[in-house]
Amino acid sequence: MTGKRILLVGGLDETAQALGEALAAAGAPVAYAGQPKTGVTLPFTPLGLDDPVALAGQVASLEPFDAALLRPGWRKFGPFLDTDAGDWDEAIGQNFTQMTYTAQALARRLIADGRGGRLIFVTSALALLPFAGAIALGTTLAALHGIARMAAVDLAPYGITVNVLAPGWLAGEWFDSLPEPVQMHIRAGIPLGRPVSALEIASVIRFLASEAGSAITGAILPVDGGFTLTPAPGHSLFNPA
Amino acid sequence: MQLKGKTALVTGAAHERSIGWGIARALAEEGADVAVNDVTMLDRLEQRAADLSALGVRSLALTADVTNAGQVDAMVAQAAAFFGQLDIVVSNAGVIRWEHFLDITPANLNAVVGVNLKGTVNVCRAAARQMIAQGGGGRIILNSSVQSDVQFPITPVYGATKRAMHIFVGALALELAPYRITVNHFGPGWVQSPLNDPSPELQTEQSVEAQRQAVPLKRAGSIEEMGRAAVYFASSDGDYATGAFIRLDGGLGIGKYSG
Repeated sequence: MTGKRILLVGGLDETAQALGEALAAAGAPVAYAGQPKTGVTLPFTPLGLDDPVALAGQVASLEPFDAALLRPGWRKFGPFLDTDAGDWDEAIGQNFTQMTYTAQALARRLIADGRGGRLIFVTSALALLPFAGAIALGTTLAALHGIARMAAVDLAPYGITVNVLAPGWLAGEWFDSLPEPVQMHIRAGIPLGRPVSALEIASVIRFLASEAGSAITGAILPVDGGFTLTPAPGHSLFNPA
Repeated sequence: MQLKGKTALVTGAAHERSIGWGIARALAEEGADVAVNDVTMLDRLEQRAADLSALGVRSLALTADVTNAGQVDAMVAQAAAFFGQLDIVVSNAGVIRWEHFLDITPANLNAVVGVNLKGTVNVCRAAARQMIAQGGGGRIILNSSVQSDVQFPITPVYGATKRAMHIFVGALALELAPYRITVNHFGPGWVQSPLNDPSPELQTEQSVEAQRQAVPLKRAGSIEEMGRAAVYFASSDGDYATGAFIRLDGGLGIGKYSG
């Protein structure tokens, strides 16, 4: 057990839930806050992520927490030429703007509580290497990396660390549902030869949230089996060459 | 005359001290016909078009707000119709706000994200569609920033939009390579452009001197030097460059204690 109170904040989808369950399994149970996606049922505190004023008030009245995981919720793929201004508005709104305001509100709360703390963004390896078909996702999450790094500077005087965990391909039902040639293509692009498990992601978060992570701030940590080390084979995410 | 017979559009080019103007003039000095765009300072914009004509190239002043996709599409169509084709598009328009992370306001965030992210996307989308329709390849060039590499805490949202350009440009270069459209960006450091006039770090002689000392080459960059980077990516010299970044900052972004 870390003994830390961890909050998982953001668009709460199946992957966020799986991450929460993995954190519990890793000895770091979480509370949820944000907006659950349709069909996801978990105990949560509602937060109006798209309303910075309401958000500030809601975060101020949350149960105290030591670490917050911020998980941007827009996760779509598509070619640039088919991604219209509305798609970009949605991607920027959910992945960048909402997460920036949420981090700001959480930081103010941690400052008010006066005990320091941890902010941890959970983004994606697709924000570290450019890929065809993931331009809006990669670009908006890369922008969030910029915010995280400068928040780390500005929040350091308050004893608050800010880090980014960038998971690669995640093992599970979704990965298993991909056609076998696509799975082979993706595996071939990962030096460790396999997607990472939710438990492997959770273990790193647990470490960052614990006392052991106290000197790490502004880091962007890929947890991806080496996926971002090698652009080859192929720059297309889903199309075997 | 490396760009004779080529046509170009540069956004954010009205002000005579702007990097956009440095780019437009550099392209014209190599023989390109150039359309200049801006959303304000329209008298100045007309003057820039006249300045370009005086260099002996065809020129055009186009008013459009890059945050508005419809206006951008219309602008690109107009430039292509006027020149007969559009070979080079430079997404240069950008805005900056100075505030620390805890002080970021929705008004400032929306302004910076609107122009630097959404505006860039709008310009690149319209450019790509036009170039694909023409069928002869093309050059898309972005003016990003040293902050694509190293963000500064006093401008967190600006830095975030610029950091994102590495991924945006890279992914776009991959997606447009089959059409022989290259996509590249260059990152200015300190340039004495109107963008930087309100910078709290440049309001006194002492702070300007401190800024100078922070740059290993001990001076600001010129808009002409920025323009030459655009010429490189636009000309045959840059044929093999795509998804590339040139940091043009006198060494500012190299590392710490460099001054």
